[in-house]
Amino acid sequence: MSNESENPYLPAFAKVVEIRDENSTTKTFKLRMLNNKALRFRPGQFDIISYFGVGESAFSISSSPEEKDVFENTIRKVGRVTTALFNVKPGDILGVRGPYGKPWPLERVMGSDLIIIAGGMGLAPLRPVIHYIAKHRDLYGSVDILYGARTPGDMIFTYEFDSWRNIPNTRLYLTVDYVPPNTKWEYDVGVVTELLKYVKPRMRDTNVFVCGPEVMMKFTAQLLLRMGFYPSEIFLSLERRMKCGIGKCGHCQIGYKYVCKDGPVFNLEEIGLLPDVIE
Amino acid sequence: MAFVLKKEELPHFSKHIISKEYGLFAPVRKEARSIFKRIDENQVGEVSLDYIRTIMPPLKSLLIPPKETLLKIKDGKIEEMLPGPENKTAILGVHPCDVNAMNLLERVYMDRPKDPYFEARRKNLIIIALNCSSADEKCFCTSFGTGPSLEEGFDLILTDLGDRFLVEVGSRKGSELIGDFYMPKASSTDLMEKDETIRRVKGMIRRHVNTAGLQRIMTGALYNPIWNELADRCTGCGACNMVCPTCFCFNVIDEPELDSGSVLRSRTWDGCLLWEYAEVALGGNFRKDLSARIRQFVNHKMNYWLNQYGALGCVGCGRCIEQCPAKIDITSIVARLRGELL
Repeated sequence: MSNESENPYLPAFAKVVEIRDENSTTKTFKLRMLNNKALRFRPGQFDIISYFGVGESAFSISSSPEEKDVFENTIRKVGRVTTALFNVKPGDILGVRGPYGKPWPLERVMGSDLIIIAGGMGLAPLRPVIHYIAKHRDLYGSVDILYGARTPGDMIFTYEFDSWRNIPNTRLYLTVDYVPPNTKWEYDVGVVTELLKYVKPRMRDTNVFVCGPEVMMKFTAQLLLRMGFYPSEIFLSLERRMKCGIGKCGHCQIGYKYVCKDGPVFNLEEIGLLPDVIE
Repeated sequence: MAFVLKKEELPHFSKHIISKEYGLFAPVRKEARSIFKRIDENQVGEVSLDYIRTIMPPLKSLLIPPKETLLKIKDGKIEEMLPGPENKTAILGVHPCDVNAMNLLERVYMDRPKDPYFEARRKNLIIIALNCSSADEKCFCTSFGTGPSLEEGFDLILTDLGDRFLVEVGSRKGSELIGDFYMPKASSTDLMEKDETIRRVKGMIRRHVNTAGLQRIMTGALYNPIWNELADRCTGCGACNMVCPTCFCFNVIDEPELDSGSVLRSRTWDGCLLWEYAEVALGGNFRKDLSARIRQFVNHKMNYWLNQYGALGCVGCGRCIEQCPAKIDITSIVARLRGELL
């Protein structure tokens, strides 16, 4: 929190300026803070959105950190709060707290090659990374983006894939678990870890960012370790139940770590031995 | 500074506290037990400081009420429901373990960013503690140095010396509370009797947790079969969470007020033994197995607290042992993991 005297539970107001359909169950909400307050965030941080009367939920911030006056949350309709949010229209006002949490270590990995591995909605907190790299391309080496989803229709940010492929020295590999009949699909079929066959990492000079369902991150981390990556070169963004975002409500604890303030981005070295995580 | 208060003077002292515009909370008898309740002027005679343990932790209940409204939202405006400085509260007769538990809650809630609700309630609170004059087989405060006596963290502290209380001053606030209420100064005999009482109570405490190197032992036992075995008995009711004076977790809920058109955002106690606690979207649950939830409860107290807040998260009050319908006993879990008990 910027101001020590502020009530950390007090949301600020933001106006919904645009809503995009990502797929049949997912929308991206573009928000602008009212009262000229910008939400200054770093890639990998999250915010907590209020739909007053229904409740609050934590969401990864999915937009480019270079866009200063607006930010985006990409939200899948899965529960009470998200269902309420799907009834929101442009011009409506929502409550926003944050940003919270530790971002992806973009300074620490500067100069190295990057492999970005995302499963399903796990691409949301990684999209700011891709935009950041595109803007600061000379700060990073080769970049491989590996993205998997259940079906082609479950993918998000598909309208940006061509522009990602056009980032210099950057490759995008896609896979789905299965292709429904009469669906056009010219990429891989299989789990996302299989896409690692296309990548020839320069060992000790490559870092990996992973986000997706916990089981996907578990298998990805295991495979990366077998390939010779050190745990210190693997970063994961974790999802846990959160009610406060500031290390008070207790829900997001994993061992002695709070996902909301010690994460959501963790180095595998930090969490490898903790219980109730990618066991 | 120390004074002597005759036992028959206690109601007058309680009245004196109320006259200073404090809302007074104190233990009273209810059936076979004691509970803390709000005492008005006409009820000062009910206050009974002769108790070992209340079912609910009194300071947690005052500082983080079981249900507390944080915000009121109406017509696009948000009102912060912070308690004002006029809500002065005094708690009388709270035991050392509970005061020490409050000190642990302060580490959580006053860690940055501070929780303004806790902070406001804490600032409004004056603590008249009570050294223990008895203990039962569930007490184990001596394992953590959190009782049966208290050296700091109180404004006044009483010790039961039979026909009278020794009253010691722990802060300027405590001294100001006494104000013009006359009590004779304590003698060296009174102070010696206090020491004798504390020594006697220490001797009554038979239950222990060996905390030496405990963190390493607990971490080494994360995959011990004991957690599955306990899960066969545990009902997952969360009573241990609710009665624990250091359990601090909360849920947040929005409720529309139908008659006023406003929305109340409140927090309510939550507990890691409850199934919903670690549930996420689409029915995912990171601790769906009861064994994982018991392991979380015990390890949080006896292991993780040390990393998170620099102290173990148990004060040895014995409430979780007393309330568990499955008779699960945190002290015997630790003893078994240490190989001290089969």
